[in-house]
Amino acid sequence: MQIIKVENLKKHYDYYQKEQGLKNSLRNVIKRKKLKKEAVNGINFNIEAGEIVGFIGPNGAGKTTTLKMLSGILFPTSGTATVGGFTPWERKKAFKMGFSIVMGQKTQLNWDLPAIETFNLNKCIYEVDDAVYKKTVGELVELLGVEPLMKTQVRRLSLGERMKMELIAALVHRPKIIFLDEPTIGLDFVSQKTIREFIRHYNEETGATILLTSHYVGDIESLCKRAIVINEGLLAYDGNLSDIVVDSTIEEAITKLYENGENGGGTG
Amino acid sequence: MKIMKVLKKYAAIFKLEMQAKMEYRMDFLMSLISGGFTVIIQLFLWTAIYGGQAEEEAVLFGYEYSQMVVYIVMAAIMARIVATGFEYDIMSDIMEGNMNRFFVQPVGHMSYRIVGFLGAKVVENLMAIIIGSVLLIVLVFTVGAEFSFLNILVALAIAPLSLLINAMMFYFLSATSFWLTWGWGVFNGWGVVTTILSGGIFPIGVFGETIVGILRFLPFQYIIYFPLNIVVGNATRAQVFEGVAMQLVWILIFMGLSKLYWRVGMKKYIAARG
Amino acid sequence: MKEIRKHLRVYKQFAKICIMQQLEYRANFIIGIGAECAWLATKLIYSFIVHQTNSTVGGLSPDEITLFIGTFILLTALYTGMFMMNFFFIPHRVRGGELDLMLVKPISTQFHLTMREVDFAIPIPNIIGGVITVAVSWSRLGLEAGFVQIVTYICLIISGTVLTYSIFLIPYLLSFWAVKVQAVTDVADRMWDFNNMPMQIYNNWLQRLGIFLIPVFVIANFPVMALFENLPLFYLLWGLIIPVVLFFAVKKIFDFAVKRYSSAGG
Repeated sequence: MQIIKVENLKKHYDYYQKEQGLKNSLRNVIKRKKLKKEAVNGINFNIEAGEIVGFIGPNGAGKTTTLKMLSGILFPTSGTATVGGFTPWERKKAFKMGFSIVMGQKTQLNWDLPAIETFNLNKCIYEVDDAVYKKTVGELVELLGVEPLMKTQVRRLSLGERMKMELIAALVHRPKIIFLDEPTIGLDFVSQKTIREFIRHYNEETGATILLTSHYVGDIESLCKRAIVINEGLLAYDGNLSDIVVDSTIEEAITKLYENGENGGGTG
Repeated sequence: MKIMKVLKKYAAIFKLEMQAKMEYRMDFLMSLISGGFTVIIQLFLWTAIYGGQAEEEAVLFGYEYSQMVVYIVMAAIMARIVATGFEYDIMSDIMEGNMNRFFVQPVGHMSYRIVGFLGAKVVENLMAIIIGSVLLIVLVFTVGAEFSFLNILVALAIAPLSLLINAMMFYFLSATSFWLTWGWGVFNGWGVVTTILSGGIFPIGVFGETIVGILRFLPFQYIIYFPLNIVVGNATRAQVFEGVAMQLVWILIFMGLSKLYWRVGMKKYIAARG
Repeated sequence: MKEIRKHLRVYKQFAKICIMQQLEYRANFIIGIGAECAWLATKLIYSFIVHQTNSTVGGLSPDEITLFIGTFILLTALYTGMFMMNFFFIPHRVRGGELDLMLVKPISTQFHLTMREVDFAIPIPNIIGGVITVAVSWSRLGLEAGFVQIVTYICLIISGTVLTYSIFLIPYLLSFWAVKVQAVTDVADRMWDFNNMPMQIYNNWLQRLGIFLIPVFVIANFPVMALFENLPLFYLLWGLIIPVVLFFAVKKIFDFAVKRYSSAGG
């Protein structure tokens, strides 16, 4: 079953450029130069239920914008997408109940309190039964080894510990679809490894579909069979990771794909 | 030669803060509007109160109607003139650990802040004085306010001292940020207390004789009430001399207290950062 | 109905988190109460002055005016406790992207963005001060309000609170379009002070402006007028209907703002 379907998805937005100096500031008041940014410029892909797919590309390639569209945060300029049978940007409650997004750069945890308070809040928000909640959180806490930290305020946690809490908070309602945007950013090697293992384990146990972006090739290599490479808003590659890593390292293969994308600008 | 150098240094700080402040002209304009709201409420209130009195030309708390109107309008302007704001900058400097730059620069923190404050206020206060003058003329024609030109000059000459008391008081207070992570509430609360007790909303006469007697020995009334009472024409010559003396005394007291308080705070700051 | 119950449960959790968080910073909590006491004093000075001058304003005696001020203080407690901080944070949350995380949650985004914070420090002095002020002036007046008046008073305080939410939220929604909105919101917030005295002190056109165009006077004036049996039926209806109308208008503006947010951005 194809749980995520993306067809010709585009996101363009306008922005304004300001040249240096007071004269240009004044000119801007009257007429601003409107520029168009093509953040995502027509991409297609499908994801089967239960897959872990790596979504890779350089900075500004359009990864986060795509994830935000698939989460219903942003409306696309054109194109269609279904996620778990819903069009994300219709923001149906049933859709929101079944997925989760973790953004490595943003936190939903309350800085001044232990993370458990955020878990509790999400329990209410996602209408999780007490018994189910206890069981889920108990398991997640054990898997990630964060029991000793349950009474520690989030601001006192290390970056890695915080990300583990972030994951638990996002999984309280046992989502079927999970988007992870840079979940290992800035983490040390050991934390990266724990989180990777946890993601794989969670996928195997629950059969959840996971779409993951990362800067770290290691994340992708160890977790995903399949990779979708995006560059300058266009698809550069979609297929088995092993096919592009024939006689080179994964870094080299991906760099080559980026370069192709820049020259040809074609979809993969 | 050395004096010239020092003066140049302070002139540079003065200019820097003056330019920085120019970026916030819009905020100043808006603060005038919101201050205007308070004045409108007051004007209606006092008009109703004076209108409701039995006798024709009632004198309340020592003020005729026209004097009260002048007082209220001018108090709002004066409150703008003396208002500080650097306490929040100091708070964020301390919170974010940016105080270190003052250890390496050859300029004392207090003189930097006070000179910078004066620079930041120049343009704003010139505008406030112009607006105040226009309003005074308007009041002459609308409510029949009467002024002596001499009184206004005396008040203008005294105003810088009022500004300094308030600045020194808040400079003193801002060292509290060494102990409290979030001094916002302290500044806000103290600001309100100061506004009330300095006569920034009503003439302090409304509080009754006992409180006025106590306020005579406190710094607050010398910030707003004292210069305005001269403008309105309610201050005797003896009161003017006493007031100026009290202003000078309080400026010196706050300077001394600031030195002490800041020294203790800085010690804590350095110890904490080792 | 089920959704409402759920939102109430979530609100309870919000409140619990907020009180724990505020007690985490005890010194700030206490200072916040102290600072608000100073603001409370500025409101009470008006009562002091009308007593000192023994003034009747628009047919209201000093004690009647004080009852009005007490009601205003109670409404301030509700406003500062439930809304003020939330509104304050909106520009920051929209620009900082916290809104993104709210958009994916299966609860009303408007509820989440505008009711997330519950302040406990600021309302404490206002509730205590407000109740005392109302009680003292009530007994001094020897007011014998009937059951109907008291129920109307409470109903109008509730609808006044809905009105407060709607009126004072709108300026903050500008932050979906413009980056710097503080200058505007500061001025708009100051309108709250117009309720410090009964609207009878203002002239006729200002009263009409404050009842019909920007209905801030409805918030504090109508409950007290009902208590004194001084509220015309037409005003009573207006006081009950306009909050509902404005609430739905604000909801429309909010939806429009979020739509714009999602259409732009990247």
